[in-house]
Amino acid sequence: VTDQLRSLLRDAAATVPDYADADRALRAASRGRRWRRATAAIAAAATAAVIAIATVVVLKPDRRTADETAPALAGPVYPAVLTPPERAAALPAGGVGTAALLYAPCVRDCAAFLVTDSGLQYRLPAVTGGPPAAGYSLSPDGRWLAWPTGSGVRIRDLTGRTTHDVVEDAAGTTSAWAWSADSRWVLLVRHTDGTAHRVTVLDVTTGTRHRSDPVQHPVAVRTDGRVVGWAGDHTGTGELSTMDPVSGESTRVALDLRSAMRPGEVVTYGDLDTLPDQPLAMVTLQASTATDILGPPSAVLLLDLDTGRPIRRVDLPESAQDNANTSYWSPRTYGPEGITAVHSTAERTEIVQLNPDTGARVVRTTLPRDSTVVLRGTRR
Amino acid sequence: MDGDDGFRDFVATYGAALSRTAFLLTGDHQLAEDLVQSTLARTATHWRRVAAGNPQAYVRRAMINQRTSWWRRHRYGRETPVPTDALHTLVTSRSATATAGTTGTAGTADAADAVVQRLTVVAALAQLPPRQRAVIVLRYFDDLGEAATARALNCSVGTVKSQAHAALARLRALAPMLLSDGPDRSAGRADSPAGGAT
Repeated sequence: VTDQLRSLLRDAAATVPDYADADRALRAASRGRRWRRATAAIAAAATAAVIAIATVVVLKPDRRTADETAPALAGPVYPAVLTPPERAAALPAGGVGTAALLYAPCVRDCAAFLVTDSGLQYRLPAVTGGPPAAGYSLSPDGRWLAWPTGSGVRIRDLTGRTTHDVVEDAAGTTSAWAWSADSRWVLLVRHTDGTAHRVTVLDVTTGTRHRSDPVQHPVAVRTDGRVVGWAGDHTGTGELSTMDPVSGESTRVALDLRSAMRPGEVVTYGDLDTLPDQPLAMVTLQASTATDILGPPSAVLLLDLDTGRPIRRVDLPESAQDNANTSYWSPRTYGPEGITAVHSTAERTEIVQLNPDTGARVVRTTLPRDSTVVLRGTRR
Repeated sequence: MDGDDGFRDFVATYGAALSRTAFLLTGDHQLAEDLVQSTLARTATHWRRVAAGNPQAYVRRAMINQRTSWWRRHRYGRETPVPTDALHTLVTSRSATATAGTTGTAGTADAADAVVQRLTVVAALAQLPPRQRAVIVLRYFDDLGEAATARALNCSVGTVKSQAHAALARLRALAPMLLSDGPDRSAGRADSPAGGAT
């Protein structure tokens, strides 16, 4: 059968002409090569254009000056992982764009780095005798960076070349203590031996500054430039004042947070984070332990600055401080994206956003263990 | 000798054989020409690399791939398999022509017989699925071994065997007059009318 088939196939194909034309095939191949080259060139040009546009859009430094209106608040762009670079340029004098955070990958003897929203890292010099990142403060919009200079504080615009120098003639240490939620005002406090001696409120958009003696312990500055002071103890009772630094007039309300506190908890008012568009601030509660008066943070309270009353309590994940399972939660800010906290473990440091309604946690950034982190709107 | 000359030599040497294979794969002269030329154009693009290996095997495989690709794209389009009824008609007419050859002019009858036979073979091949047709063409026209056929079709030797078996069975069913179980096709052809008349 196969022989028959072979013969039949040969017969069937015997009269087939030779279709093969080498020159025609070569011409077609040449046309194909030209077309592919042209297509590749067009694709390369298009890709280059897209990359160029994307680069300009993403990396172009913001050239706004201090005379312009403060930018709308935008959330920081956290890189998923932050690894300290082996070599990094020092922060230049010109604009580098808004910053997401700054950090130091150690407690001492290492460099601190400013991380921009475009993901670049710039080396920062140590400005205090403490941890490398200590003393620096970022405005809530990530545009302004403040740090102590010895005789005062320097505040510079990271998107341009504007700088404000606040020089103090009195003895002590001046630090950028708090920012208004809209990033317009920064509260500078001159401390001597732990006591606030003088407050300066600086409008970074104009350079206008107002000085006054503190009425109470200054803890925050509101979006109208008024300074919030706190008098009282850690039990949650006391007095809250709001002072106009221009006229010196102040209003006072009684402070009572006890209804939102649990037995053994104390209030730490040194870090009071004001919220945008609302007369609210976040304060941290800490659970005192048998061995430590100030234990790890246990919850945050939203405090109404006008009434001095708590309006919401949000419990934090439980911290553990034994050697086998170190887990320390440090709440830093309260905003539309939730509570942003720094979570330190034996293996790593994380920036975590906690949903106050559901308790869901989202790790935004992972850093080396023992990192010290300064987020937007905070000074630590 | 530059690359183009080498390609021209290859086409001059193997062009006719490739054309015949292409015709048996497609069953259509126009499709066969398109298949040969498009495959050669692609081969010319990569000639330097192709020439370093086995150009004939490369082109054969490229032709089969291209043919399969066309078949997938135009499964129900340009090529319409000859219906089985029409194939029977061809086979029947061949028998009648052969019978007439016994009483008429021998030369005319042989020529007509050859034409009908070619049409019958092409029609029978058209009834086969592409892979079975390719196996038949490669194994029994190009005389490739099972391993070489498997390489050309990018399948296993076992698949070649099973496909060949199925294709032969199908051809026997479609054209029993052409593929008799006797040892010699010509003997079958000579005996067939006589047997039919008996």
